[in-house]
Amino acid sequence: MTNARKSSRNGQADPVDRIAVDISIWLRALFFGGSAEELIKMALTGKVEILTTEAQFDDLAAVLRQRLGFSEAAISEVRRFVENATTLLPSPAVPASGPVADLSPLLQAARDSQASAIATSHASKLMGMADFEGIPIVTVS
Amino acid sequence: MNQEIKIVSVSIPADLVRQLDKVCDLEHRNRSELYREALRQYLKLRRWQALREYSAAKAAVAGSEGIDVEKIIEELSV
Repeated sequence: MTNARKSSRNGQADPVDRIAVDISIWLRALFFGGSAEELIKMALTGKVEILTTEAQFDDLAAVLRQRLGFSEAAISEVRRFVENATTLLPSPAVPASGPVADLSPLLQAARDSQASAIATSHASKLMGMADFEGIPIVTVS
Repeated sequence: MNQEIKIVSVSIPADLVRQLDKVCDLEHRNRSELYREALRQYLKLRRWQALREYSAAKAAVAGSEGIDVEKIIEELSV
């Protein structure tokens, strides 16, 4: 990850918020701009760190390719951007059993990477959860 | 990571250099670090802008074919 951190007066890097985003954020940012785009731009300037998983990128690529007609060259460009602007995490291994077996990969990645927040534009999809294991869930419209 | 480094000369207005030097002092960084970061951010923003423009063109085509981008986003599951 190449995002820069702003140096504080004592020369140490200030910690930034790590925000796990779902693919609705990427799509909304690409097609509608707005708050979702502002979040992406905050990552470009090092104000926040955005976390995305490989599985989420694959889902994003599938939507762009199959439903929105993106070319392979364009999808490669999206991937390059995602790799340079965010932290692209390996997809979390799905637990074999237990209460978290159905856990959304996004939520699992957020927990495993100790995200500060989870951003989505689908609050309803997260069943009105205000947080997940103490990680606040924020809606970006 | 080994990277080839090139040393370049650029002309920058003195006032801009003064502003940048101020930031260097505040952030305890040297000029080269700051200029590198500024360039990287500019290139990333430019790349993002190109993706936005491409997406807008695709949205226009999708719209003309009756495809609702907003609906596609709403149908996604987490």
